[in-house]
Formats: sequence, structure tokens, C-alpha cells
Amino acid sequence: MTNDSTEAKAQATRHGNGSVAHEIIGEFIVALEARPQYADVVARLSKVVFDGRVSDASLRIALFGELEL
Amino acid sequence: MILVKSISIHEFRGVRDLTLTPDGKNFAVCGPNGTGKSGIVDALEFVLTGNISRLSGEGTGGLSVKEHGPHVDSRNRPDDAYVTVTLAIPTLGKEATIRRSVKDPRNPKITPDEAAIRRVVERVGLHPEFVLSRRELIRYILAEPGKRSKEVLALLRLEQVETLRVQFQRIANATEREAGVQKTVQERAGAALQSALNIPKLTMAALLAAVNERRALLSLAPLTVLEPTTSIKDGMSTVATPTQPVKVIKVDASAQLTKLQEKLSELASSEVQAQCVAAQASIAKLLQDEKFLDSATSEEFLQQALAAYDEEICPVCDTPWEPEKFRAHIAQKLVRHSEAIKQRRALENVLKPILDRVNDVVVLCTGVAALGAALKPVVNCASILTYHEHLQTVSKAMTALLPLGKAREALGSLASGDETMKPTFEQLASAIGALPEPNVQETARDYLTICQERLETFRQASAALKEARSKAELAREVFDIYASETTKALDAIYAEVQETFGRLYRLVNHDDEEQFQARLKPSIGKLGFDVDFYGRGFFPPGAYHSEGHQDGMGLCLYLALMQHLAGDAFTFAVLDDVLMSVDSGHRREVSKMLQQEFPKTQFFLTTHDEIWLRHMKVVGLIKPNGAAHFRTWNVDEGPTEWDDKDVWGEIDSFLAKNDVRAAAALLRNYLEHFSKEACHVLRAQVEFRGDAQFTLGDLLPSAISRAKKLLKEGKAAAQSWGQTDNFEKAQKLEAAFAAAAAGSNAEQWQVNAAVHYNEWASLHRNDFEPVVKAFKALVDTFACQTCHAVLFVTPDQRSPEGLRCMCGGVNLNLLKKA
Repeated sequence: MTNDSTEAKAQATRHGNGSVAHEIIGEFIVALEARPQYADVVARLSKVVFDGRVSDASLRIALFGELEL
Repeated sequence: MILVKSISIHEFRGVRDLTLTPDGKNFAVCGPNGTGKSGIVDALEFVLTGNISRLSGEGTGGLSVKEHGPHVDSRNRPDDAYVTVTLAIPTLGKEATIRRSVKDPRNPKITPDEAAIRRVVERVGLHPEFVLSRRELIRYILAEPGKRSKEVLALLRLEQVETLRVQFQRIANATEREAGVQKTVQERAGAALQSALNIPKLTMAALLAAVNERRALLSLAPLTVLEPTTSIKDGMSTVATPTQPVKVIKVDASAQLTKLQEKLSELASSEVQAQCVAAQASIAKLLQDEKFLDSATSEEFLQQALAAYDEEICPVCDTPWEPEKFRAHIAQKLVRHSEAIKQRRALENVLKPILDRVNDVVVLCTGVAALGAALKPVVNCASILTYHEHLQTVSKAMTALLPLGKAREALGSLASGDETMKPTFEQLASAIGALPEPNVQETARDYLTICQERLETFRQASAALKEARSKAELAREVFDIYASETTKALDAIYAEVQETFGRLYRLVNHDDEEQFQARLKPSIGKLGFDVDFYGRGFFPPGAYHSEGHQDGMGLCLYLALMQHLAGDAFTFAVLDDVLMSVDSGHRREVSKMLQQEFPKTQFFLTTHDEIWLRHMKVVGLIKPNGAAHFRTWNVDEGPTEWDDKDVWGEIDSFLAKNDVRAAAALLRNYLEHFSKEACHVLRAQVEFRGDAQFTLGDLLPSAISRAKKLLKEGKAAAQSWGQTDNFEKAQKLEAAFAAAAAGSNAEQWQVNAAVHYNEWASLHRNDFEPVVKAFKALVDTFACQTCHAVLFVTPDQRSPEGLRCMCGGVNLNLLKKA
């Protein structure tokens, strides 16, 4: 049986490299997606969390958006 | 994923030139310490990954593969140091060869160079965990939960999950701290506004009432509501000419001066002094705690390194680091300082109320000093500025906390107060008092101007606080979700690993721990590990279990983790001298477990213990030709194996140089090794020694006696069955054996063991050569003349039934016709 959650999980995992680590991080993205108030945050986070070299600065931007100058 | 068919090592580590051919099956390397076993492990790791963890792990500063990988005599010729391995790749149904040289370790030569094979080789290269040494094994068992979590996550290739968790947590903590700072700023702005409004409580109603009272005096319409953009001086002319001097508002100046004096009094009050004394006592206690001092200093240093890291180079040693690895490395070090971090936070909490008061005074000093400069004539506020500077130093020392002595000194300097400012305060009070009293309208105008300024500051601070809180809440929520989801996923992984671990351990210890259970308890950033101790409860593995049992647990946990990580791809593992503490009874069970539970995995095992090797062979984990037995190592030749041809040739070469002492020592060592093997395969009785230190005098006479007895039994059995051929064969062997034994004279040792062979070293070369010849003849008669394998008794337990060789050339029945 394929349910929405499985589909969403697969969707999230597709961003990663398929490793166990990325599967777990993908599950976090799916859980965050379930909260509509975090739609923007999820969109930004899912672009950086699978990158093994992500820095604190990139994560902050993903969480809070670009800093206004 | 791979099976090792053969490995050739050239001028690498302690090896000059050596080839081993495991042929895709389990293989053991046995030899005393210092005979080169680890060099073989290094070579395997190097050829498969390009690295040698022994030269690059923790505590190996100054060592490198490039400089220390080659044999010491080839250290300037890294291209001459190389390892070649031939692999079988079952999933591809292909074989491949990898040749990797120290000169260019990142670019191995792969033959055939096909994309699929290269992918497999690259994948193997990413999994250095196929090598397990005892040092690593015990890390899983005895490590602190925080450190164990790191080790296990690294083995499972899940460091990225942990690194991200640490990053989310760090951001959540930082944003909460930022919100805390912002709250202080907002509270201070609120207090300044309330002071300017001169109202008992800062509420909208009180503000509007106070403001409208002044607005009425200026004939301005009252404000009915205070929107975020409302100006309380709306309608009042605000244009100031550029030449207009800074105006000192008498009432505000007076209020500022009073406030500063009040705050200074508070700072000198008994309440604050008591807080200072308590804080100093806390600091004094920590100053006695050397562990805290070391730990707190290191923690601070690590935090600074983390903050200064530019995503490429370590700010301390200029070494290039991958960001993920650098953060994981620092996070691992920080775990050690968790207790110090806790103590530091507690002290910061004690200092906070004092620090807040100090910072309040710093702000007020700045304002009052500016006031002095604006008055006509100017009031010299040097004493206030000096005190301001002093308090800034105090604030900095208390905020930094380290060095603790400086923080304690700063607290002490607060107690002294500052009498030197009093004349300045008097001058300021006098100058402010001399300012003309404004009329009612001017006072109202001044009031609204100041209040508007402070309202703006308050509004900005409130907006910043709101944003900081919002960020902190978001960061905390994301971290909580991340922690919850990853813990759930890791729980599932650990539950599976826990189950496999328990099953493997029970297989090894079924004799007395059949009900054994284990609990792997992950929590955020930690991995607890408790094991059942004979039904008495769950305890850490190091609490009651013996070192041997802990070794067994380490291996079982490693195997369970590897099975989870690689699944069917777990086809190769190197177990480097693991299980050295396991008792002999359980070694047999370990061998069985490896053989039965991991039939598709090729184990490459090293051990310095011959009995351990024997257990592996007896159980069938290692086939008879699946081992290399190192006897010695020297820097010129590297490891040497127990090989008949080599030994006799080597003895001859010593004798050619008239070195009888060396020849005698080698003959004795070899005969000891050979006699052990012969006693084992012939099932000879040897006088028991508790320390297992059997001498040649204990072993060889027993082996000879046993061989003679077996041949006699074989002859008798053949006669009883009427097998003339076998009878003659046994008789011939018996005669040859008797002659060789008599020639060696070794049987006489039973009369006075150890006397005769101890005298070899003092013989002359001409006297010793016949001795060597006699023993070579004796050794030869223990073996089949066709296959050269030492004759052995079958079965290896219960009553002997046959005496055989590997090729079937000798196959004597030992059971007589009933």
C-alpha cells in the first residue's frame, strides 16, 4: 500500500543521494512539510540540508530567509 | 561487494616483498608481536582506501602515508612502495586488480578499467570501517554515551545526521541567546521611556494621559490611540535650525543625573555586594577545580575555533578540513567538556543580575557625560568617563568569564565604589539647577520631544525583540522536529542492531548467557548501552562483564552494525587482533558464529595467538591452507613465514658463515613450532603447563612417541584386516621413523629434557651439521613424501580412526577388526 506519507517520503528522499543518512534527513523534511506555516522554510531548507558541506550561515538563511541590507 | 583473491605487498610499511593468496576465502595471519601482521592490515586498508588509519587517526601527529607508508629503506622512493590486490566482485561476476602506490595514492590503477568496477572500488574506498582493530572495538563498548554515539554513527555513515543536529541545536541556542540580549535592550528602552514620561507604570492609557496633558498645554488635539506609527508630538513644529545649539532640557538632565546616582547607590548596596561575594565564592571554588579550568579553557578555545572556521582551513593549524568533518571533530571534542559547560552556565546565571546593573550604569554614564559636554559652561566629566571605562572593563571580564581570576578581580573592584565622581555630580547638579526654568509650554514641548525620541527607541527595540523571539521559536521548533524525527529513525536502526547484537552474543556465550539481552538507548546526541548480567539487571558492559566478554560484545556489535549498514554487501572484513582477551572456550564459539552467521563474508584475521588460529582451523573457519604463519621479522627482510624450505636454507646459510649460535637458535625455534603442530595433528599427550609455555623438550619426544604408537597401531590394524599392502606401507613408515628418531637422539630428552638441545649453541660447526641433518630427516618422516603435509589423525576428537595425509598417499586405518 502506498500512502501519502510514503509518497512524500520518497519525494523528499529524491533530493538526497539515497543513503541512510539522507533518508533520515528526508523524513525530517516530510515532517516539517506537514506544518503549512513552514512552507517557505521547507522549500529553502530542502535545498541545503542534503549538502554535506552546509554551513551555519546557509542554514540560518534557509531558516529565516535572506538578511535585509 | 568484494572478495580478496590475492594481495602483493612491495616495499610497504615493514614488508619488503610478500604475496598472500586468500583466494576469496577466510584467511588468517598468525605470528608473535612484531612479526609484521599489522603491516598486512595496513596494506589491505591502503590498497582499498588509499589511507592508513594507523597513520592518520587521533594521536598520530607528524605521521603521514606519504612519508611513513614506504618501507624505511624506501622512504625516498614512494613510487617503489605499492600494494596490488586481486578482487572478485560477485555482483558483477568479474575479477579486477587494483595497484596503488604511495607516490600517488589517490589514483589507483584498476584493471580492467571499467566504470562498473571503478564504482565498486570507489564505494569500498568510502568504507574504511571494514577494518576493525581491538582499539576500535573497545571504543564501542567502553566509550561515554556521547562518544559512542559518534563512533557508531560514523560506522553507520550517519555523521551527517548528527552534524546537522548539532548545527540546528547551535542555531536554536544562539537565537535564544540573541532574543535574551534583545529583551534586555527593550527593557532598558522601556525604562528610559517610562522615566521620561514620569509615569508609575508603562501602559498605553498612562502614556496617553501623560502625553495629552502636555499636548493640551500646547493646544494640540489629544491622541485617542497609539498606533505603531503615531507621533506623540504630532502637530508640533519639529524643524530645528542647523545652527541651533544642543539644548539641555532641565527636567530630563536632572532626571538622568538622579537616575545615575540611584543606580550607583544600588551597585554599592548590601544586596548587590552580597551577590558579588556569592559570585566570588563560586569563582574561588572553580579556581580550585583544575579539571574545570582545563576543560573550560579548552571549551572556550574550541568555540572560538568553530566561530573562526572559514569552511576551508582550520584557524588554528591551517590544515584544510572538510566542513562536515571539522564540525564533527570539534563537536566530538566538545562532548568531553559538557560538565564544564554546565558549570559555566551556572556561574553565568549567578553573575547575570550583577552584570545587568553594571551595564545599566555604563549606559547612564555615557548619557550624563554627554550632558556635561552640552552644558554652558561645560562641566568636566573626566571622572565619570574614567569610571565608565572601568565598568566597561568589568563588564567585559564578567562576560568573558575566563580567565576566572580576572572575573573575580572585576567583581572585587565593584565593591570599592567611586568617590571621585562626587564633585562632578555636584557641579552637574549645580549647572543643571542654574538652567532657566522653562515656562509651561516649553516644558510641555521638551517633554513631548524627549518622550517621542524614547518611544521611537522603544518601538525599534520592541520590533527587534519580536523578530528575535520569532526566530528563536522557529529555530527551536525546527530543531525539535529534527531531533524527534532523527531519534525515531535512529531508534528503529538501533532496535534492529540491538536484536542482531543480542543474537550473535548469545551464540558465542550460549553456555552461560543464553538469556542475554542488550539495550541500545539512543537519546539526542548520545547512545546508551546496557547489557543484562546473568538476570541481575542491566548495567554498562564495563560494569561486571570480564574484559574477554567485553571484547566479544565489541565484535558482535561491530558485526551487527556492519550487517545493518551493508546488508548483502558485507562481504569483506579485517579483524585485526581482536578478541585477544576471549577465553579459549568462547573462541571456538566465535569462530563458529563467524562461519555460520556470515557465510558470504570473507574475514581476514590477524592474531598473535597460535591457539586462536588452531580454533579457527578446527571449526573450519579457516581452511588448512588459509593462513600465513609469521615466525620473525627484521628490517632487512620484513616478515618471514614458517616455511620448511626457507628454514633449512637459512640454517645452512648461518652455518656457512660459521654462526652456529644463530643456526642453533633457529633450529630450536623451528622445531618448537613444528612439534606443536605435530602434537596437535597427531593428538599427542603433552605434560600440561598452566602457562602454556611448552618447551621443545616437552613437545618433540611426545610427538615422536605418538607417531610411533600410531604407526604400530596402523600396522596391527592392517594385519587384522589382512591388508598386506597397508601392512607393508605402515611397516616401512615405522622403520623410517625409527631410524630418523634414533638419528636425532631426541627421544633421550625425556630422560633429561632441555639439557641436550641447550648445548647446541656451543657445538662446533662440524659437530652441528650432522645434528641439523638428523632433525631434517626426522621432520621429513612426519610428512607424506608426496604432498609434504604432516600426517594427521582423524577424527580430531574421540577415538582415533585413521592416520592420513592431505593427498591420500598415506591413509592408515587404526581400528582393528573386531
